[in-house]
Amino acid sequence: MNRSTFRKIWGDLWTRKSRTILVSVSIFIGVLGVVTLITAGDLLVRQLKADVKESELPMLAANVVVPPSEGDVTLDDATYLDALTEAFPDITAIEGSSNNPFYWKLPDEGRFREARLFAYTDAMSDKPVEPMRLVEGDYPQPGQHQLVVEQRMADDFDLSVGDAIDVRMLGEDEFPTETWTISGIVFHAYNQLSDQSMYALYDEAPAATGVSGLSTISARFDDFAQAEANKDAFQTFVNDNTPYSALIVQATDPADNAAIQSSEDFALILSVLAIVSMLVSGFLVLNVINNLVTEQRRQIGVMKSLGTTRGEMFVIYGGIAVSYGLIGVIPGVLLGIPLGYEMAVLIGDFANTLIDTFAVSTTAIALGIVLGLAVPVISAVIPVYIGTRVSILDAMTDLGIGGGYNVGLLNRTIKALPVPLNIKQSLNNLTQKKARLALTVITLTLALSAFMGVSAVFVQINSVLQDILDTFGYQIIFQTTQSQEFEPIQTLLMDNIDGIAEVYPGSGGIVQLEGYISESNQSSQMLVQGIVPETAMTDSTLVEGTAWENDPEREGIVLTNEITNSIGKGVGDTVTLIANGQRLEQEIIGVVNYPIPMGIMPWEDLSRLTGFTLGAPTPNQYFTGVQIDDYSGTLPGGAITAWGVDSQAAGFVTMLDGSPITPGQPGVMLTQAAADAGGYAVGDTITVRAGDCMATGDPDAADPAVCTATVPITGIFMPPSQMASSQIPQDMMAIYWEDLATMEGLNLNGEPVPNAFFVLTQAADPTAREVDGLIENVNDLLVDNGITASYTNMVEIADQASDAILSIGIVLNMASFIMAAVGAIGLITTLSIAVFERQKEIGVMRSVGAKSPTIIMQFLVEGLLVGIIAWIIAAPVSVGLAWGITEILPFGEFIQFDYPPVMLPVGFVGILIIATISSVWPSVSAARKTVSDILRYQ
Amino acid sequence: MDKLISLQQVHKTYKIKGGLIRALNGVDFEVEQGEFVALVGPSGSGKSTLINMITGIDRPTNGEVYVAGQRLTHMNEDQVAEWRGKNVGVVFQFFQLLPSLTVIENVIMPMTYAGTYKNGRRERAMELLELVDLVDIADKYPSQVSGGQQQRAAIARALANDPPLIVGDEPTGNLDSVSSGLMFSLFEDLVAQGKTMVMVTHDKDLAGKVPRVQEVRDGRLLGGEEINRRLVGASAGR
Repeated sequence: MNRSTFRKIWGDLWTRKSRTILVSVSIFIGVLGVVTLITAGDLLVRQLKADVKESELPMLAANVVVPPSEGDVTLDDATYLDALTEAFPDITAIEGSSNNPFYWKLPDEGRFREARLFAYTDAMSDKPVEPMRLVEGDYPQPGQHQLVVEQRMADDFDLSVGDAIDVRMLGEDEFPTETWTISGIVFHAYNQLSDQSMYALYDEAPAATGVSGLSTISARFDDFAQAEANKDAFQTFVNDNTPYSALIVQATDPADNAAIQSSEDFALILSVLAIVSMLVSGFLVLNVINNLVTEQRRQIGVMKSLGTTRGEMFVIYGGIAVSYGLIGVIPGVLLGIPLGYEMAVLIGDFANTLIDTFAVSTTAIALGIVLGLAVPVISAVIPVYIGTRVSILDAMTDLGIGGGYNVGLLNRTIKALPVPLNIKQSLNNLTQKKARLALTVITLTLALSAFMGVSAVFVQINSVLQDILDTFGYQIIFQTTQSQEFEPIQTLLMDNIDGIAEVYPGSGGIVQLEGYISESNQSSQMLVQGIVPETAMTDSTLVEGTAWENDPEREGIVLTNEITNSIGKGVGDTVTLIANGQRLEQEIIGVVNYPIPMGIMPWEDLSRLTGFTLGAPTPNQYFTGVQIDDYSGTLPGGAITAWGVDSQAAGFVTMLDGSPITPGQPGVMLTQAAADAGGYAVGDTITVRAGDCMATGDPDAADPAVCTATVPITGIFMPPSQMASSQIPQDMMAIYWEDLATMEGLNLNGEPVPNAFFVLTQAADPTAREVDGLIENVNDLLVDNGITASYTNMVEIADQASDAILSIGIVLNMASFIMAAVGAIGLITTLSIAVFERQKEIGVMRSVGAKSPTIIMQFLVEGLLVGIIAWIIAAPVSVGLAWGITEILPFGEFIQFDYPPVMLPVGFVGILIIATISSVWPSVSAARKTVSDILRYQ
Repeated sequence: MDKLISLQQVHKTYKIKGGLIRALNGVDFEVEQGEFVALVGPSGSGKSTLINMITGIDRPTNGEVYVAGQRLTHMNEDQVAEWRGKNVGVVFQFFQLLPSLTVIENVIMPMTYAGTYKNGRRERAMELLELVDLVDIADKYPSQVSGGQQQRAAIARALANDPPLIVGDEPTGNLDSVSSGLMFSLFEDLVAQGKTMVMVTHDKDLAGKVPRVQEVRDGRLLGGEEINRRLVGASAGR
């Protein structure tokens, strides 16, 4: 580049300082956006990939519980895991884990805090799946009352190795407080509850949590296909061969890790937004260079007449574009690096990763520099090419402001419009420079589309969240560690705690819905919420059917519309639910519009289906008292011990005479002592009274057809040896257990119990802190009554969700703000150029009497018209963009895309504001021009 | 006759990088109502600056300017614009019609700014276009008509608010001789109707037809006798 070329470039940059600043600021913002957003996404994905390794992720995860119907069983988890390994030879690693709430506090604190205590069947240092990393200290030693804390929880609560904490021992009587020591700090990338997680040895955790047994069984297979193929068999094996019930078994391909996938998707959104903002800058540069060469037509003509080649002119105008780029790139990159890191830290918090070491993304920096320099240069090529094609003669000819004005169909149309002169003038001015109008409109449209699209998603997420929180209008959910009857809990709370409006029983569970394939996980499993139909717990909008509105006792299920659409059924059709080995036919009695696919049904029906029942008779362990007419044995009043047996036990007992009972055929067996006491022999008939038919003074109170049976004695049996040493009287009657239960009026499946309790506060709109206070009172009361539970503060969840959404919204809106800023600068620049170009016009207007407000209004109207045109195009574009972002977002599958109409007026007002602000400076600048200034330099 | 224009000891100095340029140097200039005055002089003599002082387009560095009873030197830019819109019709060399408006819209424009003829702007504009014989092209854009027609449209625009003073800065400078002659006739008609006309021109033939010719040289006005002698000499030597 020779000296004169350099001087020419410098001269143009310096002479039009304002324009240089505007364009460079626009590129700066674009580069800042590229470096910041791509750095944030890059660092996030990089950190997650470093933390979450495909080879360490489980392929099958079974959430297991011991159903209450199993009673008190002694668990042998190691044996169950070994059995699974044997049954599924393709398993390469298997681990059992427990995850339960527990209560802890610092020694000087008054009240306990809730956290999660994790424990694993394998040593923490040698976890076969989802390993953790010891950051500081040591893993817990047996018998030392030690635990380790997740780093993020330790950071939040300022916990260090060696610190002592008080732990409420929920597994011991009276829940004493013990002192445990933090032996180490760990980083556990796979833990989604990292900021509230502590870890203890598997054998020691139950003492603190009060819960024995596993919560999850995780397994890896040789490959994912095998895991997927064995999913159902795995679930069946757990249900049939262990005391556990596998509620849900999820097969997840480690190669498609949701966390990494979500972060990559999010990073992609950020990158796209960043690059779009850079492109918007590019349009602006194109616009400016286009105007620059138009403005310098005469100069170009002079240069050509002096022998300057087009190549040299490319160097000049390309040099100007590069200079704009350089001025913007340097601060953009320098500021984008720390900003990107900070943003990564912010997003990392929500993506469950920890970015605690400053890092840079070379990709982002390289892209920022390349785009920052290349986009302006590439943008300059076309206008320079076109601009330098001008002939010397054309360039030197100036016909004043009347020259070269095109009159086409558009102008004729505008001429016919019944609008004021100044609007007509604005419309004509705009349409006269169609290429510029197109570029400016594209710039603003991109910016506005991004703003409206991103904001639409933000509004939609907020709305969905609110729907979720509003549908079940309770403030507290608690789940007791042990199954509890509802009424005692309700009475206890309502009688003793102020501020509670109502307590409802409820349940939640995962069931299989025949014929349904979930879009999100390709399984037939569906979340079902168990409610009390006669209460106002749901205010979901019914789009079909009446649910329980007219009949709270009605049997049936309400499904969300995504599910009914998926299975092609509606109100009045029947669906089959499968859980815990049981099938239940239910009529669809309503369809609701709800963002999460789920079913809603009476909680008792759900608890029965999922096995949450108490009091069910267990064959062979079922002992009760009955009466035999005219019998006199060990027990008074003709009573005798009845033993409910199944066919297997009946076949195993030693028969002294006759034959065992046969299920489905009437008959009883007696011990020799009973036969002797009653003087009975095989083949005799006795009349047995049970349940309500026993010892009642009112014969009408019972239905003899049910609780009385006259049956033959089929045999005399010898009680099993362990019974001989028990307190059970030797005179005993054995009867088929189902017949006995029927006579006693017992439900074979037991009575349903809630697995959740919902609390409504008296305050209509309590704060999270107020709800916390209420939870503490409830917890204290329940603990005093020997009941432990885990609590969910729905108000706090709503607040946290709002915060999380707000943070994501801040990031997304920052991207759209960048584009809006670039768009605004684009409009400012375009209008400034228009002001410069139309100085003569301004002079003429002034000379015929136009005052400043008239001039200002002229350019303001032009700016607003550009904005309105951009809005008209941006509105449908933003709908598509919002749809795209919703599809990409991690939780997108929960959101049924529905563009919020409010975005249209918001976008309109937004563009009016942007257009007004952007137009003010050029307009005022135009109005400040005096006629003499204008005419003097013509 | 009343004095429509009165410039008293008007000085105008421009600052440029190389120093100062004295465009007007103590000009005293008066024009009676109904006069037709031509300002002549070489390029850079100060003619246009003097005209700009009269229209309020430019301000004197020193001195006072009174036009149509207003002391322009004490008015701000907007006040001058409003005043000019009602009292002065300006005709430029390059016509300067707004390309984005049709001919008739260009004529209506000053009425819109001044707020005059609210109920009959189009009719008023048509009258003026009839005066300059442009009714047929009223709805055409400036780029669709000839230079002469554009200049006549510019005159119609200058007359829009019926101003007492018409000022032209080389109004015929960009026209052929036929158009130029027609334009001058129009100016004479306007003066005959009572308008005051001040115009800058390089055309000595045209200046020779104007009742009063004032030469500007080096920012000063020369005496009327000397000018007339030169103009007569110029005509005789041809």
